[in-house]
Amino acid sequence: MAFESFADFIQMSGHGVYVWPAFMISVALLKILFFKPLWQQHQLLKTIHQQSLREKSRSMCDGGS
Amino acid sequence: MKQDSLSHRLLRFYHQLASPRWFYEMSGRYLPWLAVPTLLLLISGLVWSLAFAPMDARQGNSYRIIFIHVPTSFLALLGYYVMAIAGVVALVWRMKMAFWVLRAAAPIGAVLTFISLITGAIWGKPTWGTWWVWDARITSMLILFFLYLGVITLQNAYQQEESGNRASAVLAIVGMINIPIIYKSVEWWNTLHQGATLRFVGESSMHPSMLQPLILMIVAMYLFYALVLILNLRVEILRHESRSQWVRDLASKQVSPHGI
Repeated sequence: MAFESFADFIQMSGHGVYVWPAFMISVALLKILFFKPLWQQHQLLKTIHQQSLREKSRSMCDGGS
Repeated sequence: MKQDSLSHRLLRFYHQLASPRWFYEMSGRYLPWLAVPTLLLLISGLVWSLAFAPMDARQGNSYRIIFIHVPTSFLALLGYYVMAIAGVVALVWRMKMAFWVLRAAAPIGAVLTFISLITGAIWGKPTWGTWWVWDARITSMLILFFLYLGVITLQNAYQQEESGNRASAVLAIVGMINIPIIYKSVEWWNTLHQGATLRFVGESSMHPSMLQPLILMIVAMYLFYALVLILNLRVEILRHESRSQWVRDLASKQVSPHGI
């Protein structure tokens, strides 16, 4: 560790107010970059599945009549 | 055999890359092998740079911002190369996958440039006494940010997606003019921004105890860029191929694995 205590680690001898927000903003944005496509993929597959089910049932109705 | 010559294999690889389905299935298979090491390296790099790298004698602890500022700036620039090259390939060979790479790369580049700018601003306060100066390096990075935003805007500005794709590819290529300006800005103009800390030839101006976590963060960020680019490209593939049978099969398999 480069710090002597936990309080020292948080304060970083006065520079904590700059270092911590810089890292937190960056990590939050990187998290969004990582999770957004995963969430989009999940949503897309769900929509595609529902749409193909709808089309399948429609074509089955057409075939039956 | 003639068929196995290098040029044939390269050509086949090019055609495979151009095939959305091949890329989707291939990348899906190897994705965990990229994702797990990337996230582990990134997390250990962050812990190292925040808690274990020694304090800088001149700048104190504020210099720790370098560990996030420099890697994201590198990738913000590299992301622009990726976009411009994809633009050339897309326009010259009319390769639709290349247009999708352009669509996948633009938002990542914009976010990384934003991180570079904001961490730079925060670092500037304790070091230069100001959040912002209209200095050559910073201004050219701001222009890079606007170029990314311009590409994203153009992609969605047309009713026909193809027109938007073509216009954004042209902007991405023209915007390459800005890249050498960014690199050379610290040499051409008298600026507050410090010169390059890393050198590939000759000695870096940084102590190994600080250089090692920085290199780790740069490697992690390169991998992270590749990872999110692939993830975004996979979304683009699904979106554009949503009417093809293989995507429908995939959707039904993922949404209801035991079938309905």
